Amino acid sequence: MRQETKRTLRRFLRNPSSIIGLSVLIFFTAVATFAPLIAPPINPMDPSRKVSNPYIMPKVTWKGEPIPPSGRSDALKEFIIKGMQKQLYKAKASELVPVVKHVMDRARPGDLCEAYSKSYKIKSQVKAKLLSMVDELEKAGLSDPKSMINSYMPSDFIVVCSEAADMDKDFATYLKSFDADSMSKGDLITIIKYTVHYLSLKDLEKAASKLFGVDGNVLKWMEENGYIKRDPIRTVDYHPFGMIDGRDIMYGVVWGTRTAFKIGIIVTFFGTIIGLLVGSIAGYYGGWIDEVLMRITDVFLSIPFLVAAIVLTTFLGTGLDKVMIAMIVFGWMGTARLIRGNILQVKEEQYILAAKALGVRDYFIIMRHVIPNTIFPVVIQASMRMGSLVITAAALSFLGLGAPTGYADWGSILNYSRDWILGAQGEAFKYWFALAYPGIAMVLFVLSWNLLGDSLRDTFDPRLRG
Amino acid sequence: MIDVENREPILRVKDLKTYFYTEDGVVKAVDGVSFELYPGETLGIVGESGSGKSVTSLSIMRLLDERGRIVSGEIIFKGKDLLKLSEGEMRKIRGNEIAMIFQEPMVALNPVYTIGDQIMEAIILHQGVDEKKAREMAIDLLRKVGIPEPEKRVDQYPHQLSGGMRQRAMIAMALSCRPSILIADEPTTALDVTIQAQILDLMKELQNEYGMALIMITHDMGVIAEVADRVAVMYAGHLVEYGEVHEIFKRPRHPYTYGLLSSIPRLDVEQEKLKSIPGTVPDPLNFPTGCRFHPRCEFAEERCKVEEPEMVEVLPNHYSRCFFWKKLEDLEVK
Amino acid sequence: MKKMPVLKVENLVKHFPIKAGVFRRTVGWVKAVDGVSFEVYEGETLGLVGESGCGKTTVGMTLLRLYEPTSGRIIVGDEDTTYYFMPTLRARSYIKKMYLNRFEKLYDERKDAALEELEGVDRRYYERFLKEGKSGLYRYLLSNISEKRKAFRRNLQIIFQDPYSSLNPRMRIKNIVAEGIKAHGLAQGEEVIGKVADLLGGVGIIPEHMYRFPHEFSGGQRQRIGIARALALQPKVVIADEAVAALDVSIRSQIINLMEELQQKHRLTYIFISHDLSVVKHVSDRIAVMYLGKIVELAPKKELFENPLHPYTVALMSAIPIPDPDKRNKKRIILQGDVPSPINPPKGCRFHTRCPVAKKICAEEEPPLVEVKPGHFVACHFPGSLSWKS
Repeated sequence: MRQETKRTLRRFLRNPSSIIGLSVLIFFTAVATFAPLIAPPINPMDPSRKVSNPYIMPKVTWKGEPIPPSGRSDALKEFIIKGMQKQLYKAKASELVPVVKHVMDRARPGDLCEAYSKSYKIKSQVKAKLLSMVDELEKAGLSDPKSMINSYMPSDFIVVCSEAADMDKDFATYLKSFDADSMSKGDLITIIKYTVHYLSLKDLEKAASKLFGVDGNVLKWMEENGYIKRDPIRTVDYHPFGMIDGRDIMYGVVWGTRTAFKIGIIVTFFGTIIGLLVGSIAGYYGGWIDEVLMRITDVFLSIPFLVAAIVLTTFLGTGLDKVMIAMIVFGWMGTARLIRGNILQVKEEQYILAAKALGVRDYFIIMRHVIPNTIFPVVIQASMRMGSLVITAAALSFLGLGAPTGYADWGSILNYSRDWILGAQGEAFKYWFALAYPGIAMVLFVLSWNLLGDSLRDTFDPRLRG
Repeated sequence: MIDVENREPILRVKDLKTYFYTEDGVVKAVDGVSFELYPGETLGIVGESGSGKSVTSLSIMRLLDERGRIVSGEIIFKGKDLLKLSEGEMRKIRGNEIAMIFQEPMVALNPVYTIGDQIMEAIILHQGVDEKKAREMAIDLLRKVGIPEPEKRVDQYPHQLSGGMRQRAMIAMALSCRPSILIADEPTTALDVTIQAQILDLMKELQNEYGMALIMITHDMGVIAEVADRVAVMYAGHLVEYGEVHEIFKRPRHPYTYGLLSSIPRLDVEQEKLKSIPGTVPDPLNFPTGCRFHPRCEFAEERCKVEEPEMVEVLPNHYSRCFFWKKLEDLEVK
Repeated sequence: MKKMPVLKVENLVKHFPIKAGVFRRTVGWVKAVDGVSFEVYEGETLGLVGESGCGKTTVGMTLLRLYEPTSGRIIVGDEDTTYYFMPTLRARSYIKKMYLNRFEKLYDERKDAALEELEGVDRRYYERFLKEGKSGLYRYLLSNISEKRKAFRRNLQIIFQDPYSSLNPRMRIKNIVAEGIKAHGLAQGEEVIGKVADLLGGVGIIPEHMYRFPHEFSGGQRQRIGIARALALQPKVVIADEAVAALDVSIRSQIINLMEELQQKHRLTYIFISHDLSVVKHVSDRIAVMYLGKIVELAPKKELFENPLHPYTVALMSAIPIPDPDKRNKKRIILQGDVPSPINPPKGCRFHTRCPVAKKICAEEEPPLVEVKPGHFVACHFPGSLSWKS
């Protein structure tokens, strides 16, 4: 036996594909094992604390992290405004009133004028007030303020407005004294839309908190509720794999290795067990039992997997465990067919007949003769499936059936970065890292299992035995 | 009987060495085999599994798999060394001048084409006739090899024929180009005896008609005695004895041939207990030193363990690879 | 001298269903064995010879009950064993059909006197029927069925053809040989190893090699191991199914000699199944020639070779190439055509389609197997009409 083992080992190790597959897998195993060292599950907001579930990629919130590192407030303001915009149209007019009041309070009069210039109702009121001030404006140096006020050019109107506000305190107060409660929703939105840009970051946050009715850290709240999403960024020093939405991709890829192994091992294990059970009962006993079991298998095989998985998750709910259940329920048929075929073949072997002729009991025949001679192809097939299962899980995650947002799972990360697949305007590959790293990890993982399975098959293929 | 002295051999194999490079080491499947084949004669190559008899024939056809390599030697056919030909030139000889039939016709015939298609393919390829003519020739051939209703059979697939019929179809295919040499590798081993008798008869008949030389490779001494003019006995990659058929069967001068002949149960004579050759066929990865037969040889002496014997002419045109062939002079095959 | 047969087969039939279609309906039957009867006596070798598809292997498998017989009776020693491996209900209906119905009729007609015309198992069972009645006979036959099965397995063993497929490649030789010993509880613990060593020694395998795997042995050695496995249960009858067909010529005679030695030593009875008439001739005492599921001729070896009566036997003998170039030009009977399919065997004599001396009646009427001389049975309308010896 020792000689045979040596021979098998030699054949295995001489195969370059087995070496490549094995070493990549060893690398992945090491990454999975040492994940807490490579990517410590620490709350980046508060490095003294650990995160409660290391599989949820910890997220950096706005205030704690200098992101984007330069031109911080402008970019941040853009995010907040973007996030608010959706809500503006959704909210009721009464909800917008406090926001408008706040905005009117904090905005510079000139900025208000610009907003008013977009709303004809308000504009006409302001015009009346301005017309009463025409003389003073002329004195202050504006030539023909009257015609400027009546002009159709908004810019003329704004110029007059700003001039008036600068020289006349009363006018400035007047501008802010419009009764927000009596305004139409359109006006409210117009005012907010055209003034928020000019607010300071602090005021903007306040406006947002009034809009959403949130006290405290409104940024965090908006982010958590999906009103703002940060663009992926990559800083070679701190986040070499980049970040999407405040989550470190490297962290996700590292802990995703564990998830990949978990999915692969659990699904393969249970799928193989079910397949073995069905296939071996069908194969060994034959007759109508075989007939019934194989027809059931055919039925399962005829259901498209993705459709079945979607239907199943609507019953069970989404989540990684549900996806795994779906994959087990619809993933045992290959094994069942394989083992049945093998058993049918082995059943005709003379050593089985010899054992029967010796009066050995069925149980021992199965355990000692049938299983050891049929299990190898199943093991090889299982190792091949390991990789492809991760792809299937990723596909389901991509469809939103799998792991929850922020779960360290390669498929989820890809799903997460879906918004940036197309890159930015004019820069198709701006966010390449958001897809590349989890994608590469997945490809390598699948490839290495396939290489390993291939070389196992080559090694143990009985036709190649000398 | 063939007058060996005055004829020019059609095929001369000289010191042929074919090795297989496997993961476990080098298998010296054929290790220095030389023989001649004369026009119209039948040479029987006999040996057990692993003796190298099939590899010899595949080497002549240059049909070895990628692990096998012809390391040295010459195969002279009509003055040309087949080993020096290009693959294209070899293809013209294969099937056309030298044809081969195999043990299991089901493997050698392509299951998705009709028998007729496969015979016609060979005819069209080598003789350049049109399809209609080729079909007529194919039907003629099938009739000639004794297949009933050839017009119908020509359109059947290999699996629709019985084992014997398949072997006949295989022979028809081999004969389609009137080869000057036909190599038959265990052509009857997979067949029942009554069918074997039919096929052997047919082959003899066709050989007379076509005047081709036949190399009959088999493990069955009975078949050899039945058809061969001269016999080459192979053991562990070596030719151990080589001579005229009556010589080999009546006056074997190698202990292996002698042992083989006396260990066969015979239908025609009464035997008390069978003589047997002790031990097992040697591992081709690990042939014994010296004479490769010495561990199983009842006449072996110290010399046999260290020194490899050469082929010597023990009687006119009768060669043996044994130091002590004289010891066999007084023995008789029972 | 009337010897007691160790094994008696009466009218054995084995048909395999051919299933087709979605619902696996039976569309036909392969009549592999179609009414075969013979007796095997203690210590002898019965050769069963025929070409592929004649049903000789099926006979062996059915005798061992690796296939359930379709009908017929298999008597081992003085017990009917046919029903041993049937489910209880089928076993009961078999007993009813085979014995009770007949016995009740006999009893109604002639009471105790009927005993006189019965012999063998029938007589023994009838006696019990008289003594204990219907239920008594049922009880006797059906009780301890698992013990009976075990005893049957101990009595009948098999040596297979293929030395490569007949040993489980993932088991050590020790476990292969010990499997039967363990299954029957013939030895425990250390004793098993001792027994295995003895068995291996007995077939010429070095006992120290018992921890090796089958692939470490050559074909001949594997066949020896297969023989050791069969002998582990000390069987009375060993069925050798083409036991030497797959071996090299130089190894074949070793195994034949070994089997002969073991027969002497253990008083074994062999049923030697082979397609090779020369081997069968060498090892057998009596030879049965089979053709298409039936025995066409059965005779002691010497008688069969000196005086073959069935045309098929003659043709078979003449077809075998003799390893002697001087006998090359002997007269040979070349049979035309192929063996017909056992799904649709020819009417009348099954050999008539290929028989060189067939007449009209051969196509119409099936000749029965009759004893033409003491011990020489032949199933032919015109026995001896084809001769071959030159």
